[in-house]
Amino acid sequence: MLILLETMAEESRQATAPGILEPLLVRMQAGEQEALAELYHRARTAVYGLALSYLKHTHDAEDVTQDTFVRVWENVHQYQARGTPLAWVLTIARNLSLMNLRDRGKTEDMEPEAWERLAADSPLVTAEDRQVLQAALAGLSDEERQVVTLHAVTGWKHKEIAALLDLPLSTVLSKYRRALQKLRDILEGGEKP
Amino acid sequence: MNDRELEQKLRQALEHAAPNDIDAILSRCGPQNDKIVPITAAKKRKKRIVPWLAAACLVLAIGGGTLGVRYQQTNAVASVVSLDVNPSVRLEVNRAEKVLSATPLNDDANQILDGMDLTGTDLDVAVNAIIGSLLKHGYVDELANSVLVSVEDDDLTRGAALEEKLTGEISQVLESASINGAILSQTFTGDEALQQKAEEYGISLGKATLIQTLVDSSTHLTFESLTGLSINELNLLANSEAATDRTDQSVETDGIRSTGTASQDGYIGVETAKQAALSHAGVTQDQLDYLEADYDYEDGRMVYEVEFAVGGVEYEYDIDAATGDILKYERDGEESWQQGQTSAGSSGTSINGQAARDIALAHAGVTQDQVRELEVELDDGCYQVEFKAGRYEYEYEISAADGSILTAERDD
Repeated sequence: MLILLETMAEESRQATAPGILEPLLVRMQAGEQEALAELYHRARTAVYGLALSYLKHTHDAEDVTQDTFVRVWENVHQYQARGTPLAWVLTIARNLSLMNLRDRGKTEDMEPEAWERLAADSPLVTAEDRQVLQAALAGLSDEERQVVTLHAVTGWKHKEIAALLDLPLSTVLSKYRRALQKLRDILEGGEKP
Repeated sequence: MNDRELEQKLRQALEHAAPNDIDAILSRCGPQNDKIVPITAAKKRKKRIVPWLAAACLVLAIGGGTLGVRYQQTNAVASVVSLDVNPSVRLEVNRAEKVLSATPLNDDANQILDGMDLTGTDLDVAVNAIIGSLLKHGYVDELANSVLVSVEDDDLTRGAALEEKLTGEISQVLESASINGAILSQTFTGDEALQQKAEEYGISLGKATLIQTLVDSSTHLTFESLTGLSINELNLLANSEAATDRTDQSVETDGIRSTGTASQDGYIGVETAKQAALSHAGVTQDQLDYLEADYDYEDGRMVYEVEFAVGGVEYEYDIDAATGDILKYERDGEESWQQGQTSAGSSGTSINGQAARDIALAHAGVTQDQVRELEVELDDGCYQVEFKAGRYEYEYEISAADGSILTAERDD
C-alpha cells in the first residue's frame, strides 16, 4: 500500500517536476506563448483542483484557473527559483481564490443544479467523477478538501502542502487521513478500510 | 478502495472537469510586466490589492467614478491616496493628479500636516512634502523604516500606474535623506465593508486592506489582532514567506508590492532565533535535513517560527522575536525527544517546557519512546502538552509556575 501510494505520488510529481516546468518559465520570460500552452497542459488540473477546493463552485474555479495562467504569463519575470515552479503557480491560484472568496463575502455552497450543468458542460465528466467531486465538495471540511486535493493533483509531500496552505504539518497529516477516511465512507457507504 | 485508488479517482475527476481552453488564455495574454511592475489589470471589476512599499503607510486614494462625479470636473475625485507610517494621511486627487484635499487620519498626522496647505498642489509635490515632514518628525528611522502607500481607484490600471509613480517618488526622497527605507504599496477599489471596519478600529482603509490581505493569506492571523501593529511589523509579516535570507529582494505577495527591507533592529534576529531553537532541541547544524525560520504573529507578539528536521523528524518552534523566549515547540515523528538540551529560557516561569512534558508523560505512564506527535505550548502561564501514545491521545495543562497538573484528558 505504501509503495503504491509512493508510485502514484511520483506520477503526479513527474508531470509538474521543477526540471520540466522551470525551462517553460524561462521560455515564457522570453515571450514564448507555446511554453505557456505547455505549462497550462501540465498544471491546469492542479490549478483547477486547488481553486475548486477553495471555491466549491465550478464556474468560479474556472475563472480563477484562467486568471491564474494569465497572471503567470504577465508576471513570469518575477519568478525566482526559490521554491518549485508549481508552488509559485499554485500560490498565485490560492491568492486569487482567496480574493474571490473575499469578493464573494462568504463561501456559497454549490447548488445541486450547478452539478447538473457541470455534467452537461463537460462531456468528459462521468457519473463517477461527479460522485467523487460531490463527495469532496459536500462531505469534507474546507481544509480537508484542500489538503487531499493538493495531494492528489500534485503528488507533493505533506511538508510542501503544509507550506503552500500555511498550515502546520501535523494539521496537514491529520486532515489528510481524515479526508481519505471520509471520502471512503461516503463513496463506499460506510465501509472501513 | 485504497488510498491510492481514492486519490486517483479524485485526480481523474478534476482532470475531466478542469477547463481545457488555452486559446481563451492566450487571447488575454498581453505584454508581460517587467521585474519591478507586477501589476495586472483586472479582467473584470474586482477588488484587487496591489503591492506595497514598506515603512510608512501612505494611503493616497484615487476615487474615481464611485461617487457619480463627472470626470470632466476638475474637482471630481479620481483617486484617493493614503500614506501610513504611523501618521496616516489621506489625499483626494483629481484626474490631473492635483490634490483636492489632504486629511489627517490620526493625531500624529495632524503634526505632519501642520501648516501645510496642499490643496491644489501636484500630487508628487504633496507626497514629497509629507515624506519630508515624516522624516523631519522622526517617524521614519532605522527602527521603523516602513511606509505604506495605498491607492484607491475604480480604474485599477490608472491606480496601479499612480502607485508605481508614488513608490518611485518616495524611494527617491528616502534615498536622498540616506534612509534605508522600505515601502509597501497597493491599489484597490473601494470596499464599503472594509471601510467600516477601518473606521471602527481607527485606521486608514489602506492599513485595513493590508491587514485583510495578510489575514486572507493566513490561517491563524485575525484582523483584530493585527490592527495594533505598526506598518513596519506588518511589513515584516507581509514579506515573511521569503524572509529567511532574501529580504533585500523585491518580493511579491499577491496584491502587495514591497521594496526595500523592513527594519528588524527591534528584534533578536533570525540567526539568534535559529540558534535558540537548535540548542533547545539539542541539535547541531550538521545534523539538519533543512532549517527554515520566518516571522509570524502569535498570541499578540511577533515571533520567529523556526522549523527544521533531523533524520526525518520535524521540529517547530515559536521564538519571541523581541526577547528570544521559547514560546512553543512541537516535534513529530517516532524517535524520542533529544536528550540533554539546555533549559528553555522562558521568563516568568519556574518550570520549562521539558519539565512540563516530563510531568505529563509520568502522569500518563508512558515513556518518551512511546510518544508520537508531541506538542508543548506555553499559554497564559500554563503549558499545554499534547501527544499520542498507543491508541490514545493525551492532553494536559500543566501550571508553569509550580508544575502542578491542572487538567488531564485521554481520548481514544
